[in-house]
Amino acid sequence: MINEKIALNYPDIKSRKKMFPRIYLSILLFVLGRGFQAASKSVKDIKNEIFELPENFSFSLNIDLTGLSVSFIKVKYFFKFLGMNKKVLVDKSDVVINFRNINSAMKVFTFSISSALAYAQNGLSVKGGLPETLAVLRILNLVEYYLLPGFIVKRVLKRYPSQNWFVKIFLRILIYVRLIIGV
Amino acid sequence: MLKDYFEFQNPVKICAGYKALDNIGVELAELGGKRAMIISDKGVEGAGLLKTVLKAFDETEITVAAVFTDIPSDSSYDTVRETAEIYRAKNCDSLVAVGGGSVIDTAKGANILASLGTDDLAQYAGAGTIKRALNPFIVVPTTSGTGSEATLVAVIADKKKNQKSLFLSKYLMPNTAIIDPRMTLSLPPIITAATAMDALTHSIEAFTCLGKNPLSDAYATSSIKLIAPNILRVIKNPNDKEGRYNLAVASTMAGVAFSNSMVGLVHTLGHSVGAVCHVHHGIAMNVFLPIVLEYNLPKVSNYVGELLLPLAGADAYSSTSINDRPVKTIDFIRNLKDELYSAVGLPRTLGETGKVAKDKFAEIAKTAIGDASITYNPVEMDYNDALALLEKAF
Repeated sequence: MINEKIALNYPDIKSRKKMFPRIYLSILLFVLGRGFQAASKSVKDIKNEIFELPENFSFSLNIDLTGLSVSFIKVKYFFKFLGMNKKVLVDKSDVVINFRNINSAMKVFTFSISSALAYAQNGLSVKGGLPETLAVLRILNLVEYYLLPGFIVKRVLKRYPSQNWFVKIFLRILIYVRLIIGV
Repeated sequence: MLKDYFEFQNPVKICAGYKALDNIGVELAELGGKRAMIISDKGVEGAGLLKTVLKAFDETEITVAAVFTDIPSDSSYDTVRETAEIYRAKNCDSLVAVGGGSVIDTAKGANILASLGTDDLAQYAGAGTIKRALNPFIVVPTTSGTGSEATLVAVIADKKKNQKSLFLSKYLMPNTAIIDPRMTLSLPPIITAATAMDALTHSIEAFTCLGKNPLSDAYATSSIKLIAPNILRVIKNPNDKEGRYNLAVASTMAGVAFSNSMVGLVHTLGHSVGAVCHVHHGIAMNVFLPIVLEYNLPKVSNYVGELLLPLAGADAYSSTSINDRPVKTIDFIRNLKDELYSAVGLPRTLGETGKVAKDKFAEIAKTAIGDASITYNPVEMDYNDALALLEKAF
C-alpha cells in the first residue's frame, strides 16, 4: 500500500532544459553550418579533402538528447548545408559526430577544449567509417582556423597552420561574406 | 571549465599466478557457465597449451562443449560467424579464449553474435552499439603483449570491404582474465621481444597521449616498471617463470591503461605498415616508439621525462637533470632496441624488417592519416609528416 501522504512530501524533480546553452549552441551551429559550406567553397585544402570523399557523402554534428544538430552533404567539391535539427538527416548521415550531452558540446563550442581532447575524454563519439570521420575532423579544424581568432585557434588546434598572412585574410573575408549571404 | 575530466573502467576480474588456471572451472561456474566453448589457434594447440587448459576443467562442473582452433592470425567476420555457429549448434553458454590478440578479438566478436542472437556483426561496429551484457567470457592470454584480455576493443577484418572494423564497448570486456605464466613459457624469444615491446608501447602511449589520466598513469608506470628489467632477462632465459609472470602481468596492466587512455601515433604508423606491408605489430611498435617520442617531445617532454623513473630506475632518474630526462628516456629505449637486436635480431628499422619498400611510403602515409589512433596523439601529423617519419624509420 503506497502512503500518498509521504509521497507528497517528496515531489519529483524533473530534468529541466538549459536555455542559455541551447540558445548559444543553436546560434553557433547555424554559423558553423553556413561557415562549413562557405569554407568548403573557398579553401583549396578543404576542397582536396572533400574530393577524396565518396559521392553524396553526408555527415552531421549532433548533440544527444537536445534535438540540436547540423547536417551536410557533399555536392561536387563542396559541402552543402542541409539544415539544422532534422533527426531524419542525422539518422541517414554516413558520419555522425555525436556529443554525449549539452555540457560536452558547450566545452568544445566555447573553445574551452579541443575536439580531439573531447574525443579522448569520451565527450563525443563518432558513427561511420574511420577514414571519412577523420577527414571530417581535419576539415572541421580548417574551418575553425578560418572562422575563429588566432588566439582561440592556437588553443584548440594541435598545430597552427602556417599560411601567408594576406592569403589568410583574403580567404577569411571571402568565407565571412559567403557565410553572411548564405551561399 | 575544467579540462581534466576523465573516465576509467576496469571491470575485468584478474586471476594471476603460477597455475592460476586451476581456478578456471570455479570462475566460469560463478559466472553461470555450464557448457563452455574454447576458442584458440593451431599454434597454441601445437604448443600443447590447450591440453593444460582442458586439464584445468577436470573435476569441475563445466562441460567443454566445443574446442575450435581454426582462428587465423587476422580475425575476420567469416571466422567470427563460423565460431558463433558452432557455439549455437553445441548449445554453449560461455566462451573461453586461449590465445593472442586475434583469438581474443574473434571471441569478442563471436560473443556479440551468440549473445545477441544475430549474424550481422557489422551493425555492432563502432562505439556504444551494444546495449546489454553479453554471455560469460573468460580469456587466457598466451602472449604478453596485446593486453586484449583487459580492453573494451576488438578489431575484426571485413574482408569483403577490405577494411578493419573497430568495435568499442564496455560489454566486450571479458568477465575474467586468467594470467598463468605457464601459457607463455613456450613463446619463441623473438615473439617474446616483439610482444613485450608492444606492451611497453601501450603503456608509454597511454602515459603520453591525450587520454592520459591519473588512474591509467598508475597502471602504465607499474607495467613499464615490470617490463624494463624483465624483457632481456626472459629472452636470455626463456624458462624463467618469474620473469614470464612479470611480463604477463605487465601486459595486462598495459591493456587496462590503454583501454582507458587509448594509444597514439606509434600505433597509427604501426597499424599502417601492418596493413600495407604486413609487418608484425610488435616489431612495428619497436621500430616507431623512439621516433614518435622524439616527434611528440615539443608537447609532452615532461611526460616523456617522467618515464625515465619506471624505465631506468630511481638512481638513473635522480642522477639526471630534469631537462635531460626526456632525451635519456628515448636513449634508454634505443639502447633496449639495440640489445634486443643483438639478442634475437628484433628489427630496429623498417629496412631491417625486410618487408617495407620505399615505394610503399605513400600508401602507408595515406593509410596512417585515416587511422583512429591519430586523434589521441598530442602532436598533429599530416600526410607529409607521415612520409618524413617513415623515412626516418627506414
